[in-house]
Amino acid sequence: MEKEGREEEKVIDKRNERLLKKKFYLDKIGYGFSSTQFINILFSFTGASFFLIGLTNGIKSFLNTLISTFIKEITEKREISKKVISISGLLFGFSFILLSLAVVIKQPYLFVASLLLGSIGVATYGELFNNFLNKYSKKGKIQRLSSKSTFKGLFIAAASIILAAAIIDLAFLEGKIITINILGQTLTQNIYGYLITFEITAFAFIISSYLFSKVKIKQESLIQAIDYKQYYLILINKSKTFFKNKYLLVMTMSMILVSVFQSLINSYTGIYVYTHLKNAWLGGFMNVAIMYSLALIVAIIGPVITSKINKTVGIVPMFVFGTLLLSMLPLTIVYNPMHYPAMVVANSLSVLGAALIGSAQGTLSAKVLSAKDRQNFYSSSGFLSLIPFMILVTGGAYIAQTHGLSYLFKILGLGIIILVVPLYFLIVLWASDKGSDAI
Amino acid sequence: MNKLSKIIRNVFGIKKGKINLLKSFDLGCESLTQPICEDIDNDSETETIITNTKGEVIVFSENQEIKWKYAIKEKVSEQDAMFLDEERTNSINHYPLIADIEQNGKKQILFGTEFGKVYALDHNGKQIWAYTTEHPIRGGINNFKIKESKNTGIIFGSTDKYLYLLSSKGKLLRKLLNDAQIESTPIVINNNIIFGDNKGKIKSLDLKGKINWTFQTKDKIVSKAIHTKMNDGTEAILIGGVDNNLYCLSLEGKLIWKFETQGALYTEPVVLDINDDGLNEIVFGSADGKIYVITMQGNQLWNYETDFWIIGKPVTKDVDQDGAMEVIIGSYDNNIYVLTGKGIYIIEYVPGVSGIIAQNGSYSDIPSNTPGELIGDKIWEYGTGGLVIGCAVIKNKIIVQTKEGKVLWLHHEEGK
Repeated sequence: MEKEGREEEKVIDKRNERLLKKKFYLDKIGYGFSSTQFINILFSFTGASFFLIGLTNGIKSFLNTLISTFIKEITEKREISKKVISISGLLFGFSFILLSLAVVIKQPYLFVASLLLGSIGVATYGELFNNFLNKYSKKGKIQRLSSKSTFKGLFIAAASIILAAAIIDLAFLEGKIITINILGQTLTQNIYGYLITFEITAFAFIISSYLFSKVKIKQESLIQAIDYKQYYLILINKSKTFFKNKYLLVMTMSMILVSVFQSLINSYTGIYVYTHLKNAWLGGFMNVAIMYSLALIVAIIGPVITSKINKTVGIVPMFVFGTLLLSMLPLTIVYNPMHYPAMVVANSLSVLGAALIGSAQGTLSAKVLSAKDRQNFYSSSGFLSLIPFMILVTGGAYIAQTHGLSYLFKILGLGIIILVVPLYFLIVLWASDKGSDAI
Repeated sequence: MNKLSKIIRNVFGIKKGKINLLKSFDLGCESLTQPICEDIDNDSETETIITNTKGEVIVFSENQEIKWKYAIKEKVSEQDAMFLDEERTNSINHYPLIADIEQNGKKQILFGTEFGKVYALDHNGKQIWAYTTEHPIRGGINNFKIKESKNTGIIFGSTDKYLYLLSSKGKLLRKLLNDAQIESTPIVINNNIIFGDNKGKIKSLDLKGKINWTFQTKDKIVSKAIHTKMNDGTEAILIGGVDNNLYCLSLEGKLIWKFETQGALYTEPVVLDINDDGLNEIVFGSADGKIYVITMQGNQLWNYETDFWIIGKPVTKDVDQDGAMEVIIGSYDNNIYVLTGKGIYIIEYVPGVSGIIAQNGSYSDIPSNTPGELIGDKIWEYGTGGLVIGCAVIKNKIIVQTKEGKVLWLHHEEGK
């Protein structure tokens, strides 16, 4: 009986694995067809100002982080039904239909509302799904599957970005009139490229949510009282403990700055490249697509480099190296604005830099914190970053609006070198001390 | 070409080969102890010592042949027979101690039984002496140096609540009464006895029985304490509890840290540098089905989840002889697992690309999740067909003991 039970369990596991594998890849297609850069370019087409674009991106990050920490607390105390994950995926998918509508009718505030709705959906969906994986699957097996699909998925996402650009370029903003003959009836329809790509995204997430609803699991019943005020107070108190470790304190400070710089760079680079090189090189969206899909592939080697080099030179040089690479893109845009190949290379190096910093942060926190504290550290530092992050991002968006993008990129490039690099150098100096207790 | 492929495999940590069954042996009854591998007779070959619930000790040579077998011939009185399970009367419940207690250059084999007797055998399987107590002996036997003497003493606990201290000739030196049954294996550090009892107390006594300190846990302690050095050189004790925790205590009985699992800890951990980082790690299994590798500060490096309880002690050896340490563990899910010592860093999302696409776990430029986690990296798995009690390794051979009484010799074979 026991043997039969185990065999049956194995069959269910295999079926679940197949469903999850398909779900992982569909998610990547969805994410690829709704690249942040394309969203920002289309956002600018609604007539939104640079200030609104920057601020909305900042609020989006704010909401994502807040929801992510919030969901972690809920899932600790309550059992969230699988249906909720599926529904949040569906909502995220449908938010793209609203985004397309906002572009068609050129309504920036509808675009903002849909984008923020989508960001609530994506964080809820992603966070709940990750929690599900950690709770219900044989961790080693599914994590390996998830990790493999993370890497393969980036290739799929890169291909999706290029395909999306081709579709948008083919039937651009004004749309393309297509005549179809069905059973003698002639139908004429104006097709918009971004409408197609956003619908592909919506369908990818809708199908993915459907597949997830087919995964068979026995959920436990868990209902505990949630005191959000208490939870956030605990996060703040925990951070006091973490910040007694000088490495974690400096890492959080630099993390806030890097997040601000990255948010502003990411908000405007796609728009800048699209606007300046619209009629050059590969044209329109394809310039942006090639630039970012290549960066995605390059980013894959970030964690690999960190894990290999970490053993020979340690983690801390990765921070300095990564930060210097990160500054490459804004500085190239400022000093070589019309040179597309230079921008492609600089963007790839910048994204690689960001990947190196992120991986090094992960490795450093793994060295000095237990698994549970590590998650608490990310939650509490993310939560505490929110206010300074919003203030700085709003300031950056204001500079973009009043002084233009070139001026902003100059500030960002130099800001990374002047503000972030010295912080990481401080870690290098501490780590090179013989009495170093952390690394 | 071979060299090149070896270099590539080393750089990327690719493991080659497979685990095959070499031989199996049926004990004809259950076994509760893991195999022990030692060169007991100084012939430069490692023997494997197996015990079973019938009270037999079987010693196998390196080429899996029986070298000798010892069977307890205990006569049970009619009165005792009414209360005892005949099949289990002479059951050996804990793996034997292999040590040169007679200090003659050869090793002796010491073990206790359910009947309450302790036996000492010589390296040829001849009984040297036996000592009788009144109650079952469930823990292991340990040896210690007798203060201001060159002699070795023997110590063990019993379910009659006594700690017994015997001479190497099997004569009672002292017996110390505890307030609870003892199923753990006591150890002696600097003339102080450290053991856990069935009331969940970890105790330190001097050799005369005076209590130095007591540390209370939430459930009984059946595993042996390990005396170890922390990375800063301070000495500490590691001991697992049925209350799911691994405790790290100072020699003064103060809690340094505890590591919580979701299942009981029945055997002692192994302390060794298994990931080649120059620092020792702690490796142990739990009845939550996981094997854990944690730092000497009590932080988890990685774990690997099997499908059922892990009761046996893990083995850390370079079984494929590639220069890197592996962790070998058996589980009640009938499988034996060979894992890399280093584990594998699994990426949950690639950091830095949130400006291009969202990923599950990373949706914005503010990181709120760890990008990845170090997890157990399984190289090989072998289905033994029985509940795995424990295992041992000789060179590239893994010896597995199942509860049902099967002994398996598995062999790592270099594949093409």
